[in-house]
Amino acid sequence: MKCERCGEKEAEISVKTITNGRIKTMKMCTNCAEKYAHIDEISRGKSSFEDYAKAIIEELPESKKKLICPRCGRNYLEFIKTQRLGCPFCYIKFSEILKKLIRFNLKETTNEINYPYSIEDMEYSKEEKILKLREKLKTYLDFEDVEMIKKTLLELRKLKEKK
Amino acid sequence: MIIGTQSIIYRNIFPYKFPNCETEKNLTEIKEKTQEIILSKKIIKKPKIIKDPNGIKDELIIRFLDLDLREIKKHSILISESIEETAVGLNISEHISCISKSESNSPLESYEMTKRIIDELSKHLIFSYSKNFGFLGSDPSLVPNQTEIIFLMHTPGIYHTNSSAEIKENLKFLGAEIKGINEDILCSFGFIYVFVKPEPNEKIDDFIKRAKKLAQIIEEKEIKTSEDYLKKNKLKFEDTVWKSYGILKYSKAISYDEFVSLSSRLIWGISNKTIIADYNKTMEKIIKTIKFFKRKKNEKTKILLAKKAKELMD
Repeated sequence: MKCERCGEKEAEISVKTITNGRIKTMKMCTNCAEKYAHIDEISRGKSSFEDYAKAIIEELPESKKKLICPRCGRNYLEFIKTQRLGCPFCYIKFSEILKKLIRFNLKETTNEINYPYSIEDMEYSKEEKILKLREKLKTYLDFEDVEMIKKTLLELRKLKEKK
Repeated sequence: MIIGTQSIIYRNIFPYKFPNCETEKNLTEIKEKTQEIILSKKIIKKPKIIKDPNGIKDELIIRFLDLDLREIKKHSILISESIEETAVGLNISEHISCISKSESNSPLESYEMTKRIIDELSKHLIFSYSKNFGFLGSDPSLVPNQTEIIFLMHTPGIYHTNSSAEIKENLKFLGAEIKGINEDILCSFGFIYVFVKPEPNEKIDDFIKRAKKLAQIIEEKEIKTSEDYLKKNKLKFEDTVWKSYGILKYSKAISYDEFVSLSSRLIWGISNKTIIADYNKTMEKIIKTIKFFKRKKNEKTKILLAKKAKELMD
């Protein structure tokens, strides 16, 4: 039997939904069932996007919680608060949480338009590399990782001297 | 009932930051660059440029663009087609927000109109795009297409039987968000916006079909709820409809919320033939008034609104 939601994959799970007070059983594939559970979690278990995003961030390792976008300076807390990203690079920087938040299967995604240009193809400019290194440095300073601080400072100096 | 259907496509120009993070200087640069392309390449045939929201006198533009949802900011402008069917907003919520209204309330028609402009613009601009995420914008929930379909609907049956919250909850699963015309659905008095966003990996055709289906589901629910309500409360219903008409026609000052509430009941009465009048014309005039006065809430407005209500009833 095909999934009642997407109509493409084979239905493997039966999900009970309550609509207008009536209980309805829907046969779904694993993807759709997972998605249903995700929406259900946001709408019922957790009160808002903010709570849900916070819960995801809680699970991240300490070093990743302090991520800052090197280009616009946006961090996780600001993103959760405003639900808005600041620049195209935020998508690369926060891809881990974004994948979980929007249930985005990155590898499966195909866009109908074959666009010639994308941010993944772009090399970082010197200024952006400096920003990135500064951000790394900030994290190492927080963790008092002397060795990495030295290494990053050296890299920064080299980069600045480079024409 | 569906009052209006709009589709919006958002795009951001690479490598600029999104409007919420970008400097004023760069936002001006983006605006000027895009404006020049739109005008010089004749992407919009009969352009009408709007820079200041207070300067907008044409109520039709207000009605269609829903400025109450997307305010023009300091570095924003709107370039609208003179026929008032399509407009491009620059630096509103994203660098480019292209919006179209379909006369026949078809989401596909409005999407195609919007897409035409975006395709033309893509020949001259580089949009922020990622292989993994599709087109990029400040709102990550709109990936991969950065497209949104919005229905403006009148659902008094659902509102007066207190089913709005339940409908809102049920539609969440189907990927739609419902907001009242005044943001809060519980104070919508039956005028609602239904926002349909794309789902990850969803093809655009399927997205449009789903949007259409969702609007149909709400319409069917409204018809059924309305019929059930009228069967049980015919006298009460007729009484409130005529009272609403009376207040709208003879009062000397009406608050904004009161106007929305009374006009919603009145239109409900017209749709059920309790009052014989042209449904579409009345609805259009009322929606125009609601949107026009939404941005002007003060004591003086109450008197002006009462005058306007009297005009409408006449």
